[in-house]
Amino acid sequence: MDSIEKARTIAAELHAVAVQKGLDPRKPYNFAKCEILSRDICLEATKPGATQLDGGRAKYIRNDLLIIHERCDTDFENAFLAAHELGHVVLGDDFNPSPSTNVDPARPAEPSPVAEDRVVDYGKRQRREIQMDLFAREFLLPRPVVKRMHLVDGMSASEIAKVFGAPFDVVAQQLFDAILLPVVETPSESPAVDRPLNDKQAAAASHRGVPLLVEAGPGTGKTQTLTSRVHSLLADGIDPREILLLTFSNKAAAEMADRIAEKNKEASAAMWIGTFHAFGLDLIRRFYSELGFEKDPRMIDKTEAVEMLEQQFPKFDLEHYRNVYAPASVIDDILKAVSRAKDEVVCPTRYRELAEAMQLRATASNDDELLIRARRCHEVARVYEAYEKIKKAKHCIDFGDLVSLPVSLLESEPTIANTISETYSHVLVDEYQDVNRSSVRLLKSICPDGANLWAVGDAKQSIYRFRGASSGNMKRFTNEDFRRAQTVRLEQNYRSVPEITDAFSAFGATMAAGTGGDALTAERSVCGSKVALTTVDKVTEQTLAIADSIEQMRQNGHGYRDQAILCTGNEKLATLAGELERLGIPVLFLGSLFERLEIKNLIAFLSLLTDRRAMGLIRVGCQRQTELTLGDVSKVIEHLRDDITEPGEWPAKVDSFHGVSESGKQVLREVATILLGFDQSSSPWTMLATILLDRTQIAADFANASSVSERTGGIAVWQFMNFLRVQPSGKGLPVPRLLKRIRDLIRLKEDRDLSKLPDAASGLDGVRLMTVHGSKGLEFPVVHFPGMNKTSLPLNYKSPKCPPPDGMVEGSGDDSKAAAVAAHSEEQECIFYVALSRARDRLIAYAPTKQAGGKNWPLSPFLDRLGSNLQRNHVAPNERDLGNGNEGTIPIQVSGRISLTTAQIGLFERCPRRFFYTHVVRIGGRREESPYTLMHDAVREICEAIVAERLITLSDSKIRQRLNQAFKASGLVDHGYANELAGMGHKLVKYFLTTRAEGSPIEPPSLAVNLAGDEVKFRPDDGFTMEDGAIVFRQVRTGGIKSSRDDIAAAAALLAATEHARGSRVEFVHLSDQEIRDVEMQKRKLGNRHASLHDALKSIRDGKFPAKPSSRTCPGCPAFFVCGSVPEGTLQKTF
Amino acid sequence: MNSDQSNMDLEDVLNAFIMEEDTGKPTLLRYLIDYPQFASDLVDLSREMTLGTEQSSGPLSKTDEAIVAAAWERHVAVVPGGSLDPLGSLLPAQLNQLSAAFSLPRQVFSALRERRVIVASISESFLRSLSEKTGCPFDRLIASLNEPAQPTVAGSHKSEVKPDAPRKVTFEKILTDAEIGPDQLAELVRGE
Repeated sequence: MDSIEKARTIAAELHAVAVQKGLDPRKPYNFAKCEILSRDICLEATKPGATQLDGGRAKYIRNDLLIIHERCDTDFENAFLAAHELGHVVLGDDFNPSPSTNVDPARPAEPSPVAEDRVVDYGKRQRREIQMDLFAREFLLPRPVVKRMHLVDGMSASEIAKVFGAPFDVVAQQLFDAILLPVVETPSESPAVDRPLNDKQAAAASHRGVPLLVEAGPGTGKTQTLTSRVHSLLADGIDPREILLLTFSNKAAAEMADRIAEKNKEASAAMWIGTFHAFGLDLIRRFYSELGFEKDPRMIDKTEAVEMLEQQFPKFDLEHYRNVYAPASVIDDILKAVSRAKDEVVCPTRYRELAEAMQLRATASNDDELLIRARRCHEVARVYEAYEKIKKAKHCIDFGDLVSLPVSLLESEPTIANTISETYSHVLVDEYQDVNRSSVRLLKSICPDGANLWAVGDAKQSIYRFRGASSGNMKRFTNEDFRRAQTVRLEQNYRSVPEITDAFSAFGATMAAGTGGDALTAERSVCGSKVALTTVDKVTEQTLAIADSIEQMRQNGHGYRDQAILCTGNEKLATLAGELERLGIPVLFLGSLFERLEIKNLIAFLSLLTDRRAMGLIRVGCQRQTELTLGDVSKVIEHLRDDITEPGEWPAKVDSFHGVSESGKQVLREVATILLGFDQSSSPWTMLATILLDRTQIAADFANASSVSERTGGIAVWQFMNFLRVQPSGKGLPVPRLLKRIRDLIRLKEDRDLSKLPDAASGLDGVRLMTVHGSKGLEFPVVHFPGMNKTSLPLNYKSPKCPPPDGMVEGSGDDSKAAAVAAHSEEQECIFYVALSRARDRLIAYAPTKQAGGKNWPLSPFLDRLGSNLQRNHVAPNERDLGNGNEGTIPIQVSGRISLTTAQIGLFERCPRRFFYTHVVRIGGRREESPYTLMHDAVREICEAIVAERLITLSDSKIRQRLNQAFKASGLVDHGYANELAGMGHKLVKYFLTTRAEGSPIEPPSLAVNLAGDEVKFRPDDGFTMEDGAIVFRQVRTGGIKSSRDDIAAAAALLAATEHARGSRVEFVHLSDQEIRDVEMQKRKLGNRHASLHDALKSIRDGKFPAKPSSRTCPGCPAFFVCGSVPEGTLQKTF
Repeated sequence: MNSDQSNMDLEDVLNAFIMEEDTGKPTLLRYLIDYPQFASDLVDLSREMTLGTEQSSGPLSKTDEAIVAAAWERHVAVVPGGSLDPLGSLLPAQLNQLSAAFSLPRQVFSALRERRVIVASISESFLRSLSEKTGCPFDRLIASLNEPAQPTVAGSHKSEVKPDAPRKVTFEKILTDAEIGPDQLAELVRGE
């Protein structure tokens, strides 16, 4: 139980005792006052801004036994301030607490792990204030009390708020904590046992003087050694304010602070404990003017950075990284390279210099490949330069700046560096194998020659290369960075049984990151089972084998919650989770938060306010209280498609929806009531909180759920509501902005941290599922590790899209590619090592041995390096239904002929489900608009006009004229880079004209291929009779070469063309790439595709619409927020 | 100041301390407040009794020293002719009495104790009355109030830089903050 939960428990107890004494919590101020008075402490109100508040809102003057607080407008606010200070009293705070400034009654218990919250210092003082806020809220509105009122007495959040005179959002947040999170049990076993230190640990803790690097393998008691060192320093009389402890994550910092506070509360609060990035942010805030900022800079996240550059992109005129369709992904790749540069403290100028050096070498040695690489690095340098300029002008900094800026400051200003190094007489660094080069340079600035620097880490667990970490830093600690350094190696492993330690030690001896002779001895005794490898034939049997093992382990006394499944990548987790659940195994797994159905269900309510077509009804209609039939939903959407409605206007039209059943209309009216009073401008958090707690039973349903998966759904909702609460304000309406932001976060993979389970979830009895990275620092009695095939581990090296220039990465020498490959393979070994060492009692690896076609699927070579410590066995599990068969089948009745275009059938092939939403339910296929799509639309218009007017040439000025006209019509003319966009469009149109140079144009006819009564139509954009008499039909694509030339859409085009005129050809014209490509298929392939077309049409009639999810395309799909299950009922469809 | 505790001698106090269920820091602090004159003996005894914890041996930690310093300060204040902190040595119970006697909220006295008030802005009649009720000679009271401001924040944990001593404010400001009505305010500020 962490310190916040402890504080809340105490608060709830105090509340209960007070109520027993006859005090009335419905008069909150009096309630708090009595509790305070009972401790012989005085409570007084004072004017806001009173001198004695010292800039705070409340203060506990300990020597006087007096609490003063600013007088607020409401009884509850006053009570909250008083209760907040009461927290300082009860929890035995600092010797004298500072005034409380940042008081937030509705704050969530845990920070949302996205964007700035990731870095913002949840350091000592903030942690205390958060604790006091939660204490206060719990004291005034204990969770058990509000829970009972909502679930048993059936009171809404608003009603409860009224009873206590509390604001709605405070009650709502408390209810979310009470209902959506499992109750945290008081642990039956005592917390981390503090054994006496072994010799090596003691030596490390008591070391003084020269820098020390502690090599601490898995389970060797690293945390205990670290805290012991801190306590030994304190015992020596070191002022805690002079101790700096740098951790890997905010969470680790909070845990350290709690551990140290167990023995010494004041010291823990006085030390500086946090991440390198938080420390850097502190420095930037202190020295912003020395860094050249006019005021305290603001942190931006990846999505904002991409937005900033997207606007500028036309200006860069890039060649190698050109993307005129959707530059966001290219920008993301470039920003990754920029971030990598900042990890190495390389500024734009230096980047450019390195690129130019490569260029010189390339021309000197006539190396074409090197020249191209050099040019690409040069383009990145240009964007890097511009990015820094834009950022600076907006007073913003990004994540990488947090360390690289302070480093450049300290390295160039020795006086400032001196001030800092004099403040901290002792510096401790945790997880040293994960620090990047800029962090090391920061350390060197504040610890010149490393005096009193103490670092602990394990080179074999270095798995954060993508953050710029390199295990080389461990080696360089003693060799280069801190020359006088000594090392201590911890050798005893307290976590795992010898069978496991022997296995990973054997592997460790062969690792590139190791130094040989690093074996750990196990303290625990032999358990009798070796590390196992269970192989199966087919991959579909793997999950079954895992399920069988899980149950077997349960028989051995290891409950579900004691077991974890680790995967090397995110993608496999969700599938695995679903399959295990269908086999009846409870799984504790959040996964991609915004793609969970519970969350989509909530987002649907929000979208009903912004989407004219009300496609959110697809989700809403699936929910218990608002069930609709599929038929009714699609009828409504059809009506709204034809009618021009403003967003949120649909409720007024319910009566006019012909064909919708009466009961359906009634439900629609109820939905409208649920949304009453809200519109696009409403705060998403407030709206959903009202819906969840006042207007529906959705939250209550989670509370009453018993299965692990439903409880996990409740946790997901809790996580989502916290996310909503911290959304930054910005341009435009809140709801549309939120929806866009969610798409961006997923595209840029910035939503990963939201998949982390909050601490409160740990009590649920389900098998844990996570990536190896997610398991860092954790341990489990039983670990299952599937996918041990050659292609999964080690994973093949994939070059980054924007590789760094040669010489940028320290220690990589001249050949940056070779160095990157070596570093990658080193990391793959580390991933295996980390996975193995998570297990306490049993470790079971799994692998299929045959691929789909029956071919042999080789195992991972890492397994052989476990030697005799591995026990192999092969199983053939009983067949069971994993439920992958019938997914996506929707009851549908098609009447009449199916008539589709090639584009539509192409969409069906790419994702049948998207086809279903777009063309069967007809929610609309409009993708997100951007200046680029508008430019492409303009180009398309002009090309169509050229065909219609039978033009072969058009002067430049005429082209410009037409573009201008089109831009005016779409509003693009006002865009800051309209000229550059027009330039791009101009090139595309010009190229199009060149394609019309040969042959004589014909009016493009409507073609179709007949497929047993159904048809697929092909409407060419252009057509010619060539000199040799052949007829050519062309399809013009303004974007890049995206879809394959031999998919079923292309086949349909070809078949339609040949049906019309034998011997005619089909060509695709790609304007951006300036290429014409022939659509040619061998007879057999064409035959296959023909059969596929038949199959596709049959699938449509049969209602087979499985989704083909892809992290690349899903976020851009118009149906993204509604995709999932569909309402009950059969859909009647005429095409 | 008059209190029962001053009748107990060193041995009584030390015995009482030993008999406490918990002889850790909170209790020690309580005793130091009650018996400032026995500060260093209490600290020695407490350390002896907490053998095996981090307070067992070695020199006093900085926080320990601060505790002793604060207690000593109060102790010296009681001794006639001693240091200039007559208000600082008042215990909360006594502050309550003052508060009642003057019909002023406790925060006013905290402000005075922390020396946040410009002496010239306080009416002489109030000061004389305060001097009488606390038994502290008028001149010494004035001198003490004129000392630099000393808010009771022992070491700000937020910034690396030590906080400057805050500016003093007028008595009127303190009273307005404390929501004192205009009539009473006028009397306290100008003696009307």
